[in-house]
Amino acid sequence: MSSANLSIKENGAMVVFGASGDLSKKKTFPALFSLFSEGRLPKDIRIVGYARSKIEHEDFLDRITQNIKIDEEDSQAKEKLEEFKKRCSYYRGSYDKPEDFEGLNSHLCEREGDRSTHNRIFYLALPPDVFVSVATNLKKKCVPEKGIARLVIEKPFGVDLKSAQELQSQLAPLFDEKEIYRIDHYLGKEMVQNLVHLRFCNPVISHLWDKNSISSVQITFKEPIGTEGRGGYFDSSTIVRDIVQNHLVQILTLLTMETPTTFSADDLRDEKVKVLRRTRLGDLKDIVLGQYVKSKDGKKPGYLDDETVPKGSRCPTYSAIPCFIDTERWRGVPFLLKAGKAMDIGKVEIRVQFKAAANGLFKDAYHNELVIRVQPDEAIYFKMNIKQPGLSEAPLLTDLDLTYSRRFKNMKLHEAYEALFLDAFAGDQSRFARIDELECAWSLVDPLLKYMEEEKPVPEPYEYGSDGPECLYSFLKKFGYIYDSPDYYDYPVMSVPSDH
Amino acid sequence: MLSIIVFGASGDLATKMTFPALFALYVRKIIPEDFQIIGYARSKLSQEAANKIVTAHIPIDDTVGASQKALNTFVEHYKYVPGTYDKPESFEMLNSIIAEKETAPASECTRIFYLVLPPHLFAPVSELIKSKAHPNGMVTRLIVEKPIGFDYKSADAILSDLSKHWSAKDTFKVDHFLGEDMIDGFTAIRFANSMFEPIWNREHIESVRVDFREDFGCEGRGGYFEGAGILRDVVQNHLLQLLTLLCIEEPKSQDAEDIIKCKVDFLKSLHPVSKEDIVYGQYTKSANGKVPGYRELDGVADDSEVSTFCALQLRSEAPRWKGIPIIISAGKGLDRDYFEARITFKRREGGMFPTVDSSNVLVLRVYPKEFIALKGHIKQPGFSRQIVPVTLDVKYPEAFPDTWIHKAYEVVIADAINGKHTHFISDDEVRTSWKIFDDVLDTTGDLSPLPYAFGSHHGPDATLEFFKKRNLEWD
Repeated sequence: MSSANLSIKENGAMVVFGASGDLSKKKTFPALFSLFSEGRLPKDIRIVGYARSKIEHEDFLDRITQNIKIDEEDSQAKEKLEEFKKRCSYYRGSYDKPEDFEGLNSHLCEREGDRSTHNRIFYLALPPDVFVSVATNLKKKCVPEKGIARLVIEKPFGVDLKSAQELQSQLAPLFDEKEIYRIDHYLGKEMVQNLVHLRFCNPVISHLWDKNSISSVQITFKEPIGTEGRGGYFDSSTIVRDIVQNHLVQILTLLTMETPTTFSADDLRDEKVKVLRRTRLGDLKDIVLGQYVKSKDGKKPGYLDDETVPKGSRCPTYSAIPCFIDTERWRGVPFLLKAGKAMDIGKVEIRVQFKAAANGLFKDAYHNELVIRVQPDEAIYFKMNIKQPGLSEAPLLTDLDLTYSRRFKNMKLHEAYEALFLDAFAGDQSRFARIDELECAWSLVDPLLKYMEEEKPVPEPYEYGSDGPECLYSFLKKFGYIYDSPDYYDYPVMSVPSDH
Repeated sequence: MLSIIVFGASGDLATKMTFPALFALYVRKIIPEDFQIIGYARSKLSQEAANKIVTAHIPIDDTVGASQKALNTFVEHYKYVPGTYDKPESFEMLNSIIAEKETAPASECTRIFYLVLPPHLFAPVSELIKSKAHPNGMVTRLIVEKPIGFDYKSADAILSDLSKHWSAKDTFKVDHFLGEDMIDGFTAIRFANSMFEPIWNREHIESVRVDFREDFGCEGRGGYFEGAGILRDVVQNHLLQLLTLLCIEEPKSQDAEDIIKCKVDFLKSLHPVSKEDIVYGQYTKSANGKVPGYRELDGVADDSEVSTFCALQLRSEAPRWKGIPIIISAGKGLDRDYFEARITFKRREGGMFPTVDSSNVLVLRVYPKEFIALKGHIKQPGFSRQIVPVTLDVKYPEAFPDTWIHKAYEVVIADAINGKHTHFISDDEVRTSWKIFDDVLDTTGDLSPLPYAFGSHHGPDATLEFFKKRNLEWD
């Protein structure tokens, strides 16, 4: 193993670029504090927030701690927080001036004190258009002569295949692939991490995991909120770029890849790339695109009502996309990637529907499904048929259920960012996207992006708070998904129909 | 008018099982309003004393819809008749008493004769019923309780005698385990879930087993048990039946005939059990000395060789199952009390987690507290990447809190009333299942039961060796 993948246990520092932004305040610093308070960061860690805004030190500390929740009675946690604050500082600078990066380096050296080795992680929570500028300056001014340097980049990486490749061609001379950690925070989600274990540690699942048993797979991402006030950003980064290419494709690869040789980062990502190369979109005309209008009760505005959205925008806020994988294992099985905003609930879920039994003894049995609930309320369950309890012989749909919150009562599920930052310090790239993965992911959605750009299809309207556009149901039907849950079925609670 | 005549009405089984089930069906209105129940036994009891026996084990609080008023009304429909099991005049009298209430034409009346009797009485009683209490033009049914016979030869004789007077259509041979809700649902679990079909075979399954464990002994039942032993009492009687439901090929339909045919086909694919494939045990007093050993019980011989524990392997020639261990274990006086079927799937070879024991197990818990569970592995929640075992399950008491899960006897009696054979066994099944065990019924000599202390975890120590030799584990 090269030094690039060594674990950073000491002489550690982390620079958070974009430190004045929302992500930093809501996710980054709370995650870093959580790791720090559990003693998981290098013991001598120094953290520097960097942004263009002018922020006084005390204001910066207030800002980064306002989303850190600790019990007022917990004096130990308070002590940890005070110690954490001592490790944090802010440095103001541009993203393109070399002298600002010289200043950052001086600031880092001052904060790091008398170290002969400097291990530095540079976390870029920035728009893609400034990645190269920052990386260039970091390479010249802040990469230590002796020690480890890692670049952690927040997605999205480019806006399409061409821009992603261009971005990569500029980064490659600056940082080795093993020094680049591209975050897709979904890979840090507990249930997404678990997909590999679920598939390869359970023979029942692995023996069923092919086109002979499975009729369709849905990967669904629902958000119950709209873009409210962020439409300007959203319009230039549509649902397809923002969620489908970012997150759902990653889940798709873990769900469908062949068995990695070992658990190493590169073996794992090799298999993801292999399956992605065989993945293609279904017909563009089958894709469902939607845009939300105001809610049924009139209280929630439609997408076009957002003042930051250009008038007459055709930007989709919902998409349902069929994909196919041309391998022996998966040929013919539709993988339906669905994502939407302003929907009925917030949920991320994988639903695998199994084929019906041929010439079955129980012709009225319901389809089996394996459902993996990524969020909320992490769970795994099989939908299966049993005899209705009592004298009846009718099939009854029920669940073989594992709901994490019920089963692991002492469980503390970490935020995705905590897991990923920990990996970055540990030098483990398994849960970060490699460049060829990203290129394949962009290649997959590029035809759709071009179609949307050139044809400007009119998205189907759906009401804020609904389940999506009306045509979703015929879409699902076309791709073989059978809606056959009876009325009484509602995971995980159910009331049994009368015997009579 | 429905008449239900319970023979052996003063006995333990009728008191604890039959009458509570009849009452439950009465409350649920499965039994029509126009009914009578007649209890028949040799004991000379007053009606008042007989009523006390009938109500002694009916738990009103446990029966949905029950009340003291309902119980009082139920008892008003009950009449006790003392009589012999071998004299024609007793059966003539019985017939007269039944007929007193049957005011409707014969074609509108049904008589169900329920023989809760030792098997040697089946033939004479059924013959006398046929000749003395079986009016022309009336629907009459005979229910007999297992065990039927003592071995293949005696079972064959009993079945032959029964068939002289009673057609298969009118005869219902009870294995009440088939009425247990979970067991009743085995067919649905197996065939209503397409996800199981590709893996329900020797290629993917490592072993199939049925485990029946009781943490109590034979106190008060020594006399009966002494004439049976664990193999006859539970294994041949019940456990083989439900194992069969897990292993059959798919029936053409849900009709009783089609299901029974598939069950018989599977039973016939099984080799007779040999001495090398079975371990017997007999419990001795508990380690703390507080619970007596089996031989110390009333009704048990001081030198008894009757087994209270056995573990055995079945070998099937069916293409689906050939070569994999099919295990039945049953024991009294163990440390736990449960009854379940367990299908263990084979581990995957190689792969990215080569050192992990990554088998899956499907558990169908019959009792206590019915559940279905799939045991698997996931990543340990949190930062770790360790693999942890976990269970996906549906627990019936939690999933169906308002559902009345019928007791087994309620199901089988309801079926007999409705003329359905689904939860009953055929003559072929009885004969074939005895053949499987005929060579190992005599638990003396080579098969003398090995001692284990009451409260033991695994019965005799030889059990562990038995499982180890088959690459299986007791737990």
